[in-house]
Amino acid sequence: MFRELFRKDAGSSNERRRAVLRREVLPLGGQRSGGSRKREGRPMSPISRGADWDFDLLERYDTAIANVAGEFGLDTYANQIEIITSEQMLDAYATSGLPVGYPHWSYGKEFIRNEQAYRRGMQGLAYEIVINSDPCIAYLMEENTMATQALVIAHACYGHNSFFKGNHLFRQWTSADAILDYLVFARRFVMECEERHGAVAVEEVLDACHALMQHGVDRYRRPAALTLKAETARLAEREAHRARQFNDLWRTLPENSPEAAPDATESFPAEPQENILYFVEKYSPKLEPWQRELVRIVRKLAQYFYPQAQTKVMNEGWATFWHYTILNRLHEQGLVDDGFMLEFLKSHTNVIAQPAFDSKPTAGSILTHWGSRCSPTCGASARRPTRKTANGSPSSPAATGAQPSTSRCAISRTNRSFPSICRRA
Amino acid sequence: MRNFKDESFISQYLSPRLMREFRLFAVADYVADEEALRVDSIHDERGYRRLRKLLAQQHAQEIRVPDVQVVRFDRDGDRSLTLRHLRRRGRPLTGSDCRGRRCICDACGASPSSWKRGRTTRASATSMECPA
Repeated sequence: MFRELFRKDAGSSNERRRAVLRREVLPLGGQRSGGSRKREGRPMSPISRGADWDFDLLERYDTAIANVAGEFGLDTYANQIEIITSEQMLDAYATSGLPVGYPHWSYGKEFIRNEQAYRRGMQGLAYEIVINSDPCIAYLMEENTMATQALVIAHACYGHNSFFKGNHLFRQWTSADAILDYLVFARRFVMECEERHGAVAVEEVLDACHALMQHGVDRYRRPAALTLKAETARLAEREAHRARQFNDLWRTLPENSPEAAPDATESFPAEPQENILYFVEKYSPKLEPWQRELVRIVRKLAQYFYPQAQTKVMNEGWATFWHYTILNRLHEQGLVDDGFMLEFLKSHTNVIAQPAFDSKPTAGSILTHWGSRCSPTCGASARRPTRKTANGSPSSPAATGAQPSTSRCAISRTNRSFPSICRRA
Repeated sequence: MRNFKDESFISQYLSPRLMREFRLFAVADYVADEEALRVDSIHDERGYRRLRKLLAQQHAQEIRVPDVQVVRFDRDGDRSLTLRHLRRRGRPLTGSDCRGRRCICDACGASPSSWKRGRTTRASATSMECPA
C-alpha cells in the first residue's frame, strides 16, 4: 500500500548520534567590558585559518560571536547547536525542523521526495535549520566549512534567535518554552491512539485535519481571562451605570408583545467562526474524545507555525543584517582573516542578490528561492560527529525531557523556505 | 522588528530609493481577456506607492488563505453546517481548495456529494451547505 510504504516513523533516526554543543548566553555586562577591551587593544590573531572545523573551534567562534552580539545588545534565548548529517537534514525537512514529531505518512513522503531531489542534484540543502524554542535549537550541517559554520551561527543562533524572542507575533502566539514538551506529548498521544484504535483510524483523522490546517488558526488574539478582582470591579461598574441611568418614566411605556422576540436557537454560532478546526473540535456531534484531541494537536501546531509564515521577509532580513554586522565586527577585531571574509561574502552576496525578474530558479517570491543550486558531492567526507558539551554548561539532556537520541529534526512546508537563505551556493 | 509583520513592515519601510535600485514593477493580472500583459505600475514618482502596496499585500497571510467561516450549525435539527467563503477579487475556490469539505462532512456525518453550492445575498459570498 502506498501509505504503508511511505509511512515514516518520526523516531526512526533514534540510533543516529548527534553532536550537541550547548552554551548559555553570558550576561550582558561581562561581554561589554570584554568587547571594549578587545577594541582598544591591538588586533588579535584569527581564531582559525582554513576550512576545517572541530568542536573546540566551533565553541570558540560561538563565544566570540556571542561577545559581539552582547556588545550590540542582542537579546536571545540560550542556544543549543547541533551538528547533523545531510541525511538528518533531509529528515528535518520533512517536519518543519521540529525535533520531535508524530508519525504520519505525509512526512515520509516528503522525506523521500526531498531525498531523491537531493541525490539527483536537483536541490541543495539548507546550511542550517533553526526553530523557535527555548533553548533555541539550531541544526548545522556537518559538511559546512568553518567560515560557513560561523556564518550560520551568527545568522541562526543570534539573528533568528533574537527575532523569535523579540517579535510580537512570536511572543503572543507561541510559547517557546512549552512547544518541545507539547511535541513530546503529541507524539506519545498519537502513538497511543494508533495502538488503541488502529493506525488507519488515526490516519483518517490526521489527514482530514491536515487538509484544514490553514483554517485552524486564531488570527485575532482573544482577550485574556479577567481576574477575579477585575471581574468584580466590572460588575460594580455596571451596577453603578444602571443606577445612573434609572428613570421612573420608562415604567409607563407599554410592554412589547412576547412573540416579537427572535428565536434564540435560530442562529448558531452567534457570530461567524473563522477557526474551523476549533469549531469542529468543540461542537462536532460525532467525534470521539481521542479524535478531538488529535484535532487539537494539529490546531496547536498550525498556530505555532502561523507567525513564521507571516514574518518570512522580516525574519530573514533581520538575521541577514546581523550575520553581516557581527562577522564584520569580528573581522575588525582581527578574529577572522581575509580568506574567511571572502568566503563569507560570497555566501552573503548570493543571499542578498536581487534576481532578475525572469531568472528561472528564482522566479516567484525572492524570499522563497534564496541562493542557487549545488550538487551533493560533499557527503563523502563525513566526519563522525561525537557528542560533546561545551565547558561551563552542564551536560544536561535536551530540554524536551527526551533523550537526545529520541529527538529528530524536521521542517514543515511553511518554513521550508525559511532556512533556505543559507542554501549552499 | 518587534512590532511588525511582513505586510506592515514593507508598507512602512520599503523606500522609493530601494525600489528603484531593485527596479521593481508590478504586472497586472486582473484583466483576463487581454492578450498582452500590462505593467500596472513601476518604481517612479507616480507608481511607487501603489507598487509598495501591492508588494505588501502579497505578503499578507490572510490574503493567501481563503476566507472560509462557519456561519451556521444546526445542531438541534439536521446537523447541517453552513460555511461561507468570501471571495477576494472575485476569485472562486477551485477544486483543490475545496478538499477540506470531505473532512468537515466526516465530522458532522454527511456525505460529501450532498453539498450544495449557492450564492448568498452578498454579491461576493459563496456559501456551502452540507445537509446531514
